[in-house]
Amino acid sequence: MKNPILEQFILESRDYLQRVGEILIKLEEEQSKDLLNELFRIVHTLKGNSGLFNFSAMTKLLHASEDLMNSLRDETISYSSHIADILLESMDIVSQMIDEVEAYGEPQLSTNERAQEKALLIREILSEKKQIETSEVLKLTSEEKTSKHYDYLVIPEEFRIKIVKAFFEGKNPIIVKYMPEEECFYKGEDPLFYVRKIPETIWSRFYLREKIEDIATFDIYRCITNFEAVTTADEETLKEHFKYILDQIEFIKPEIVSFIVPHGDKNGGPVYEDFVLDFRELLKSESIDILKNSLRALKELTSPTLFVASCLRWIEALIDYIPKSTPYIEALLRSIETLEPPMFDKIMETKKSEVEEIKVEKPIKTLEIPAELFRVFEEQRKVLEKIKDKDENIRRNTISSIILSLENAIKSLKNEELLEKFKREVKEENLETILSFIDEFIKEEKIITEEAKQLTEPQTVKTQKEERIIYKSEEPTTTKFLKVDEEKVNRLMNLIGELVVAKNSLLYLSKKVEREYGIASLSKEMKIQYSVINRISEDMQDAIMQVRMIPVATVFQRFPRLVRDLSKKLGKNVKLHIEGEDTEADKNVIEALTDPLIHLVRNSLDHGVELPEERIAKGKPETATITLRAKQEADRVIIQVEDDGRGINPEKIKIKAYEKGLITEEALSKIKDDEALNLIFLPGFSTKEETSELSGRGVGMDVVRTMVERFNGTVSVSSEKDRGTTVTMALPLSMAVSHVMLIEAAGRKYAFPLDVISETVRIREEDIHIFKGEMVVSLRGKVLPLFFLNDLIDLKAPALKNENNEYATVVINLKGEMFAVIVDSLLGTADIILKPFKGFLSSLRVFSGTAILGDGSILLVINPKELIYGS
Amino acid sequence: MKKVLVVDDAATVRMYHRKILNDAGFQVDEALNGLEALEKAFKDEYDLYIVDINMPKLDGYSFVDKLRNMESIKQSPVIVVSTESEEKDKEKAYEVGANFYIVKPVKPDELVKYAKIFTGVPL
Repeated sequence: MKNPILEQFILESRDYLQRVGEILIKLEEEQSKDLLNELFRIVHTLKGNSGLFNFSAMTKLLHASEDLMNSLRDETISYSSHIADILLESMDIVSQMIDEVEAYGEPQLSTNERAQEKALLIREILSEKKQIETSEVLKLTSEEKTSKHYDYLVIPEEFRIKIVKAFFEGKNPIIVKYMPEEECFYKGEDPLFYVRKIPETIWSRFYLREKIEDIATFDIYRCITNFEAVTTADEETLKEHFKYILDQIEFIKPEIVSFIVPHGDKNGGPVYEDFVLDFRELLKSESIDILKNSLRALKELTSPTLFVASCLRWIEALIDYIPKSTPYIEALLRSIETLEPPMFDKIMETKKSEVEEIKVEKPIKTLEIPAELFRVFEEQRKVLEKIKDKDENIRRNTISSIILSLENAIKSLKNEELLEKFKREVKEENLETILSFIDEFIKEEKIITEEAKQLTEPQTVKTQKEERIIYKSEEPTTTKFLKVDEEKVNRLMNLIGELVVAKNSLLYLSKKVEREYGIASLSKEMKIQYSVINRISEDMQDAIMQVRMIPVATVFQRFPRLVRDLSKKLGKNVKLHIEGEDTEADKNVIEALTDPLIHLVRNSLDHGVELPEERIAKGKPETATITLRAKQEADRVIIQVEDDGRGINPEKIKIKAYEKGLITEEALSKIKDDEALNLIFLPGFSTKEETSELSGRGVGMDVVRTMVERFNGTVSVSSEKDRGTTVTMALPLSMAVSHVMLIEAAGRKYAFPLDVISETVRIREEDIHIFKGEMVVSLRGKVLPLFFLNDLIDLKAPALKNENNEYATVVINLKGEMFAVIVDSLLGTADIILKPFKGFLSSLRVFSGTAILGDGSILLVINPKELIYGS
Repeated sequence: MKKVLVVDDAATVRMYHRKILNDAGFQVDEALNGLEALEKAFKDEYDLYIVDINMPKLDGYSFVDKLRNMESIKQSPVIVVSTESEEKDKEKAYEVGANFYIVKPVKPDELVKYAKIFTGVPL
């Protein structure tokens, strides 16, 4: 379902219905005015909500329930468990309708009918209660009430058709309801015998008055069965038949139209428009045989479960009684077109409305002043009348609201002339001026609308119809929030994490089945199953990730204040510009961003942005701009802090780094400018000699880097002298699955993040060269540093070669910097949930964390950056 | 942009009104009942109030009554949107100083038209 308003409606209705149930049950224990008021209000709200959509049966039922509750509130009806039952049942029906709305977009036909019926029943209670008030007679049993409105749909269609045929054959079918006394068996009465012997029975049924709760305690000598039958026998005969038990019998004389209720699925089937058109023509000529043939042909094309099929069956049954049955057939034809129940009482009116609709097609003279505007004027006059004798306060305030309303109304017309006239003539302190202005305005309207009336009226009929269509939208504008303990979401995360891992074992098993048992077909099936589970778990994971996504605005929103306060303190003019605050990322990521961001913004304010006089001297605008920018790039969220300050001088950085012993003298001469900039992220680096009040608090850029990398993110800086500095952080959108390459070294499994691997190659002993005492390998003309993984992570075992005497090698690309690592063997890729080390193990920076594999073994994931620089 | 305060205890109605008004270029704020609406009206200036009648804590009539007694609040137009279609309900709303009365459910283009008229946005 796409309509968020409808979704909201469903959610809210369920809350309300639950509350109604609670209140109704509480009311049975204690009659409380407050509860009744709340009950009334809730049902009232539900009614109002349902009116937004085209669920007229639901609205009707809720309206009836509301009126019933109102009577309870007014104490014209006293609360009884019977009333409670009716209300509870009504709410059950509404609740079912809500379920159906969720499942099918609208309540089902049968439920609508139940709702209508229940609404009628409530209306009956209400009207009867009114009579009772005057006649002072009390007590009504539920049987008496339900009997007045009979549920014709309990009679199967084929029998209803028979009954209707009987009508046309001049008979008057009667519904007999027989409710035997509970003690009837002791009186020698045989209910079943009575029913079987009803003359001229077309249809009959029996049902239980109450549910049998417990078969063990059920008293079989108590009769709780009711009987119903439809017969064409006349009433006298029936009275004779039941003469000894007439008090237990009720006769209902139904109307023919009550039985003609087409029923079925409203969707699907062929197109009937041509059929309906042809059929109408044939109907005029009363050529019965042709009608029958065309009907039969269409019936064969139509699935019998369809609503239309039911209409066709009814038409077929009625065809023999043309012309008497013609209006009924026409109503049914209309039902085929509209898929609505036939409207027998409106047969004559339909033709009229068709004429009206054609009229709409004509061009309509557009009014210069819309009717709504006149209504607003008229209503303001009414308000004026109402409040003119009120207290001074409310009078004056309302008058100013009226003047504001009128002025705005004129503004909405964009009529300068009228607006000036209004301002000239209308005086707030003089009521008369307002009244006469309104009157004059309305007078003009009368003339215009009289002319246009005939043309516009059919139009309003049509627009009303159109507007009933549910207001559709793609994006939700308000969200109902569900407050959930973060722990619960975390638990879900962990579980889905386990699922993601567990599903891998299926793949592992399928390989095993093929390899060890040689059953390729089973292996294939397992793989298919795996892909199904894989898809589901990916969707699930996505959904859970979505739950944790929050907009970066939650972090960004504190910065305007921070920048304002700090720039003031520093005597700098700074404007903060925020972009992409709607960008969403995982709550953890967002939270992790806060501290680095504060640090970066402080840095920009403190070191980046110059004092106003310095900026003016440089010919830059006096006010500096700091931009906070968020955007999504693939599965990463990019956060940038950009300033237009003095920029970073790479030379200074290099020298500083050398002085601090962070780089060698050799590197000092070799290092490129853009590389030099990134030296600021090294631990123990700080360019400003004196610690400033703002950023010199012992946290350097290395802290930013550590924080970002902890979340598997990256940070980089670019800068241009006097143009400014941009620090870019890229973080994963969520703590989702990592894709890794599994490798083996010294008999253990390890993994490299897949996104740093540029390729895997096999190299021979002779491909390895020694250059300046370091191992290198030449790969397609490119010389790459080469390492043995076993050396790097201190595994005391020689690297293994494959049968062709080759080393398995992983080529790592760290943002352009490439090197090759020799491993024992490559095992393929896998999806894992990476869990960072906690406690003292977290100092093992060469591993970014662990994961559990499908076969239950533990995997260490290598952090390639640390692999090289760390050792 | 014109600012509208939608006061209704039903989230569905609030959402419905918000969607319609947002699409028509209005800025929309919401209040769950009269009391909350009053609090918001104190803090913020609204160009129009669209108010339900039946609400907990403080109903629509009382809200309008209180609003029209407040000297410090901008006396913007109030449209009452109610399920009650009887004339006496409308009169009751006008007596406390509401400017307009619409019977629920409100049709989208109707709501937009009246919102525009009452806030002076060109039709």
